[in-house]
Amino acid sequence: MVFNIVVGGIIFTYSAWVLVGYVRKSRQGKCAACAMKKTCAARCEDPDSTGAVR
Amino acid sequence: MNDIGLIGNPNTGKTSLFNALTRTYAYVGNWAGVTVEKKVGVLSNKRGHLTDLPGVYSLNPLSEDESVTIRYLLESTPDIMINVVDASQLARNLHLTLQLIERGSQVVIALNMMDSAKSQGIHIDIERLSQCLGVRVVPVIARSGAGCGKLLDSVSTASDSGNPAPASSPTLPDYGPILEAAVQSLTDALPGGVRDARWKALQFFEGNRLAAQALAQHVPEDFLQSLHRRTEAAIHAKTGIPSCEAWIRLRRSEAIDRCLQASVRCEQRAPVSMSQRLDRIFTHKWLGIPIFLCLMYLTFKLTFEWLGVYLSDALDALIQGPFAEGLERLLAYADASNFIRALIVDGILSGVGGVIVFVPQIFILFFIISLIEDSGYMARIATVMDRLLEGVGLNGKAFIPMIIGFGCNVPGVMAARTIEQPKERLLTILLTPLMSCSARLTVYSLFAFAFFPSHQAAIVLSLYVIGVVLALVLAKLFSATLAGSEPSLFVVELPPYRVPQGKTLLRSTWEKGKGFMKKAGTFILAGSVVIWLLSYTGPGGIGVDIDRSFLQKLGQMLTPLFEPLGFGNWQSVCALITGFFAKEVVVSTMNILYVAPTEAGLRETLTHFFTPLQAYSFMLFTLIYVPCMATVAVIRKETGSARWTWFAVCYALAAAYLLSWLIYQIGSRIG
Repeated sequence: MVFNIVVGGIIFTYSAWVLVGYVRKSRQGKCAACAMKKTCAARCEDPDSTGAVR
Repeated sequence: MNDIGLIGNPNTGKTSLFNALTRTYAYVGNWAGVTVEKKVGVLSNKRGHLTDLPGVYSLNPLSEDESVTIRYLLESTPDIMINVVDASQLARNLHLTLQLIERGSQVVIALNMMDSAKSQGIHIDIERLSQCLGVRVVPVIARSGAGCGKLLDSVSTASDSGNPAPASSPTLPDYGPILEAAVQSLTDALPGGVRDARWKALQFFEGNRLAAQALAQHVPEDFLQSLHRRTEAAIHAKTGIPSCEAWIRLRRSEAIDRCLQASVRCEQRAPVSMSQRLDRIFTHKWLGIPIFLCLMYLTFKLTFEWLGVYLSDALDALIQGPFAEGLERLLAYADASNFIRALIVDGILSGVGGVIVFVPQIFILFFIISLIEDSGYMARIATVMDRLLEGVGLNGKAFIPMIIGFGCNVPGVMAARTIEQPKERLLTILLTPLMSCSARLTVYSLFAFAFFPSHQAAIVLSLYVIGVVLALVLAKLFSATLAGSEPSLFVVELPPYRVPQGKTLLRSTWEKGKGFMKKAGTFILAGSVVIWLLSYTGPGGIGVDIDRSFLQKLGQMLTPLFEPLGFGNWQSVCALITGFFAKEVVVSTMNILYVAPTEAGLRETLTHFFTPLQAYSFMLFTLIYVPCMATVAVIRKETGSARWTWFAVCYALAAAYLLSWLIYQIGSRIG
């Protein structure tokens, strides 16, 4: 009984945490896919919305 | 802690140096345009933050990624700039160096690719070059880490000395009395306290839009325009040079030539290098594309038939054999309830295991892609595709984001920043998701083996080709109707071919593949739990038959829409819905909903639900229908437009539906 509650609790809690985090990170877009996301201190820039040429 | 920037021309080894100096890993590739966003790390001696910047040819930006670098220089005050210079391309690289010195930056030159220069017979007198330029020059080979210790020491010394950059480097060009007077006039008009006034003034005359914007905050716009016009007219009258920009470039080139004459000696070499000889074949007008297609075919042969499938089967046997048995025994020992047992075995093990078995194929594919990247062939692919892409309103450079998209669409979309023309950039962003990413590979691998065991490579190649052809067709359509194309110049630097370095290859492959495995243990695991729960519960309660579950009800509602495409069963419809979150989850969902714990079992089960034609229709739909959630988010960021983002989602869905319908209906008639 205890085993079922503990294991079930861990699995569902972890799943909820992962899913919420994934949706939040996906909204960040580029940082979610960046290889440096754990160590980078930069705030990634949004490009000009017009993508204007120089 | 010091702030140190890494700046240099594209493909000079900045990111390799960044990795060596910070002991982290940022993605590297042997072509111009890999880095499109700044990244910050901490130096291994803990004495500063190091910022890796996109490559620029000059401080006058042409494209969005170059603007990232220029904005960094305009808005921040790095203590030191490490200017990474390609030792085999000094004449071109030193233009940027002089601009940095003119800015008054504290510059240390990392003279990279010394091995490449030596092999080309270029001998550089480091001391004399340093004297000429008035800055420290440190020879390095970033890929191996040679010279990085000395570079860190030089940077520390430069930072400790705190001396400002030399105001009169011997090599700084004299721009002549007309331009110098105009620069003086402009700097006099600026209020005191404007940073780097002379540099901004020079950049303004060089046509730098960002510098002009910065100056316009302090002086009237018409004053700037009038000064520019008068100066340009005076230079043209005196020298015949048509523009201030051309005049500045000429004077700078002369200064660089003087410096190189004093410090560089070149041996007589064969007129045609090995790279040029290879390029005669790989970028041949008629052979270029067929060679590329053959290479892709061999890649898929290796991935799916010659090697990957055996490793995949072995892994499947391991997971579903000893591992699953051990897990069952453990659950029985712990007296786990039916609910927990079903959650772990039918949910998590089926869902995650169903995707993990494809890890060998993913790694093989990434290894080959890394090989292509590091060898220098990637830039050649853009060259051979240029003529084809020109015909549809793009240029060859647009193919590089698409190739990156073959790995993952998110960095592929971001790589569109290297495209100068905004309309071409928009088109590239919209079309890159049509490139079949590695996540979709799990779906192809499953279906291709189940229905076309002897022709897996050909089937997968056909899907990739359809994705590219569709992108070309839609590019033509979109450029003619929505985002009209502008003429653009295709200029891409072809780096010399090189033998990929084993350490770099393995590192690159691991970094790419690691993400896939991490996703399996996180998002795919969580997704499998949710999917299993929705298939285990229903209006009748918990532990219902799967055909009476909530997921079945949802799938059943939408199934009629997919019957004309050939896969009107609720399990595949639900799999496609979950695929919006991550494409790998399509296979996980199928493992759970078809109740097939092993890959072999799932393949067998699928043959009861699909014919080969229906399977191909399903794979085609998976290729084209909506980009995954992370890709949609980055499209939103990069376009800055909700309208274009919705368009990207809707056109893909419509195209997927139409093509799958056509394939299935025509195929059914042919029989």
